[in-house]
Amino acid sequence: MDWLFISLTEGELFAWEETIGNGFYVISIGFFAFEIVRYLVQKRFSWTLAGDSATNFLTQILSVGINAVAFAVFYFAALAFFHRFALFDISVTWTTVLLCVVLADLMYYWEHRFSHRVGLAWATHTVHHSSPHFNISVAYRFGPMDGFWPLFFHIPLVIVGFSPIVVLVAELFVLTYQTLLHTETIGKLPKPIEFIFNTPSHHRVHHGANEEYIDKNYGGVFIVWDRLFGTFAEERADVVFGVTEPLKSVNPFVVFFHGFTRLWRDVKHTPGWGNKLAVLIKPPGWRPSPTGVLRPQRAET
Amino acid sequence: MRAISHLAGGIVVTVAFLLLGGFLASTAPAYSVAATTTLGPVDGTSPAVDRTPGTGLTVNLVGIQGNTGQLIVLVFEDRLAYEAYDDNQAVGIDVAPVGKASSQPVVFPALNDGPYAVAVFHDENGDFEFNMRGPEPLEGYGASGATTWYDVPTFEQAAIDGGSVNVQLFYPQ
Repeated sequence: MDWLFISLTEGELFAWEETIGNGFYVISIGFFAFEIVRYLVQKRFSWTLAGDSATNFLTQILSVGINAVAFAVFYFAALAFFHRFALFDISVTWTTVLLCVVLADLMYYWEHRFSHRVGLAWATHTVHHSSPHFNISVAYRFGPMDGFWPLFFHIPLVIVGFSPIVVLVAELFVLTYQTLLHTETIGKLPKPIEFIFNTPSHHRVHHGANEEYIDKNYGGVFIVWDRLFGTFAEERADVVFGVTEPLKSVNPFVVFFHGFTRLWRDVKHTPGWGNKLAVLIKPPGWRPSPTGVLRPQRAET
Repeated sequence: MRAISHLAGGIVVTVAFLLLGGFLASTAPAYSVAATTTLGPVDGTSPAVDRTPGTGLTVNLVGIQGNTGQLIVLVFEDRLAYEAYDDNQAVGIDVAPVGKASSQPVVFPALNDGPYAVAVFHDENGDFEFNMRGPEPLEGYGASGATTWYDVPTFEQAAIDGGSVNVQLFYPQ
């Protein structure tokens, strides 16, 4: 087991990340082809579904493009800056990378919960949730600012002492792992796995618009954080996928910006500047009381 | 298991996990590639390993100063390569991060023949260059057979027959 403690260079680690990422991508595309066949066999295939899937891949291109152009420099600069405050001196080995993945997953839980419970962050994350379908292509459905908010939740990891490259690799792994969760074709896995890890079943619940499934199962790799912090829900009733106010379009630009379009609409129609600000900060669906409430606030459970 | 449903509690638990994880990561050992067959970094003494013939070359680096940078160990069996510090011709290369101890063993399990000459550079700024100002070294240096700061042994003086050797690191004053 010595290899767990051998020093890695950051270049080696990043090369492994690329390899793993490419591997997942290849598997995902193959799996998606299988899902298309399954849709056809079940007579559930439609051109709207095809359009939805094409839009998913387009939003990925748009989102990654925005990340590269707008956020990447800021991201790396911020991580590099905060590394000087490192509390611990941490070498780069598979063991410490593994530890960082676990902690990055914990920080992902909070960032994901933030994305669901803060109006301005929901405006970008709603894109991912807005498809009424659930297949591997949905894993690649991203919003315009999806690459922005994670930075603030990864700065603590750098302050703890993990190298920025290790933090980035850990974060990418947490995202990559989740691609294979976006499917209806895999039922519940053996209980020990379902207890510890995020699984397709847990993630279907997360994508559900059913009342009992809203704002649940935020985990990335591990579902234990949801069990620990009281946001877990077991898959029981069939999941209805999508968002509370359904999005009917498969136009990639309508889809990509609909969160901000709707947020703008809600801010505009809310009276009072304090309330307008609150719409940005409070959970989606919040309205000042008393009003003729159309979408009641969901309680933080 | 009762869940921690209050946000403040969640934040406290998260911070605790972060600090615990960072502490564990900082105490995990980290070996250089060539040192896989040893017991890891030692503190001031030679490793208590029985070096029977044919079990490679152990270079014990002693007198390491500071905690930054990396130690580049080059092993040569060719005089010209040694004199030029030509790493393309080295029979053994190791790059190891500097640990907390002032001694560090580096093992080359495959080097059983000899004679070998060993040169060591303490690359403090990580630029893989031995930084000098004119004739004055700016970084730490050592070689097998070198006994003083100014000693630059010839291949014959540096050569050892394998087994184990102590190499003292010398630093600019």
